[in-house]
Amino acid sequence: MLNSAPIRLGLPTLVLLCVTVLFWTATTHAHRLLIMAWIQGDRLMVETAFGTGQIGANMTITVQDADSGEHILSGSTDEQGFFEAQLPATALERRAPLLVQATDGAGHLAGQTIAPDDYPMHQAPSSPSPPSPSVPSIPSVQDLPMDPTHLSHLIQQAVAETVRQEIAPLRREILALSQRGPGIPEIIGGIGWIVGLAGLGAMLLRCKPAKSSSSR
Amino acid sequence: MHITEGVLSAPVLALGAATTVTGLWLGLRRLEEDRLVMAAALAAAFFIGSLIHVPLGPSSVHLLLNGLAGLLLGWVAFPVIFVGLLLQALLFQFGGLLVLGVNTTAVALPAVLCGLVLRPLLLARGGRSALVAGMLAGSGAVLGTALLVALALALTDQGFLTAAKLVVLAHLPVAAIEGVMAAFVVGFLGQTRPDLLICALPAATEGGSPC
Repeated sequence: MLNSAPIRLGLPTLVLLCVTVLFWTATTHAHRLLIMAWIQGDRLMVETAFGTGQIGANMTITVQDADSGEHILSGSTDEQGFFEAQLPATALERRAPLLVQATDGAGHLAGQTIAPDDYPMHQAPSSPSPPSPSVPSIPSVQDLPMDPTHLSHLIQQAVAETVRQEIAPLRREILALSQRGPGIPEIIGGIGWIVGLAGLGAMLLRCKPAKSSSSR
Repeated sequence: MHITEGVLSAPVLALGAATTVTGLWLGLRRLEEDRLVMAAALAAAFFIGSLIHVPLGPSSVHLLLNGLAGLLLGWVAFPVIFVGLLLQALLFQFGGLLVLGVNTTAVALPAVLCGLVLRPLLLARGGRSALVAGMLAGSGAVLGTALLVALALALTDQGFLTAAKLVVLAHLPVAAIEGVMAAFVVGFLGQTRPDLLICALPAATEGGSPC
């Protein structure tokens, strides 16, 4: 016979696991890959996360024209699950609908289409600006030429960057909330389906010999 | 382990669907009334198992419990796993309907193979060899599934080694956990309901497998 000691220890653990699994689902959710993409000025911003709330680091990002399928750009997310790249001027000019996809190479794929209406109304010029402008890099007012347009553009960039950084946690929350994880009703419903199917199978199997005996 | 819709190419999807249809046909032919309750219980266990996530690196993996189904049910594991995956796709949007064939094959085929190879070890009726069979089936089926997923991804667009590295390495802890769980379950059944293990064995009368 078996050595019962490990079984006596392991069985309660297994039972506990099975009993408590229903209560875990509120925090576990699905591990679907989620994506949030938007255009800010002339730049494409992408953020990825898993339904579990984990950051989608090192995900491969591909961007293509949703209509023509033309490849526009690609790259990968950083350790914070964030990807940022300047959109080609041609795509900006024709306001192409963009299909942004993220994949981890292990079977998870998430996609989002940015419609022409989602382009910002007032696009910032795609002039050679620093890729990630930050507030401290803004020159002081004394150093600037007194060009109101340039000054306004710099202020806009600084404000946009600050807002982006401030709402980053909020965006991630929204991304995680956009996935509704399986709740207890769905789980119980699924088990109900299985029980029902088993009942149906039993009924069909019961009918088989009755048919064959009656035909004899 | 669910490959998402839109990742795989049409030929891979078709191959997976064909394999699943064959497996379902073989499984349903072997599904007898006295195995129905166990099949439903294992389908429910598989269905719930996917909700237990193990956070790992940038992603997270979940339990499968397919090895146990393969060991106890043989080919019947195909319909059992198909039902679980179908409900997960419909209720939780895990995987998808088009990719259901590939996902079912990836999870069920290694389970069935492990079951066919390891079921003779259950002859010991709950002895140490049965525990070994449970452990090997539990972890072997998970690793087999990871390899099949990697193969499906490799056949679509990337190198096998890259995909295998991503998928198999991520599932090593799951394989270890499931090996231990399957060994406990087989050991428990060996002590309390050895008839259920014997039922999993090839039929003595016909020399074939009823399961």
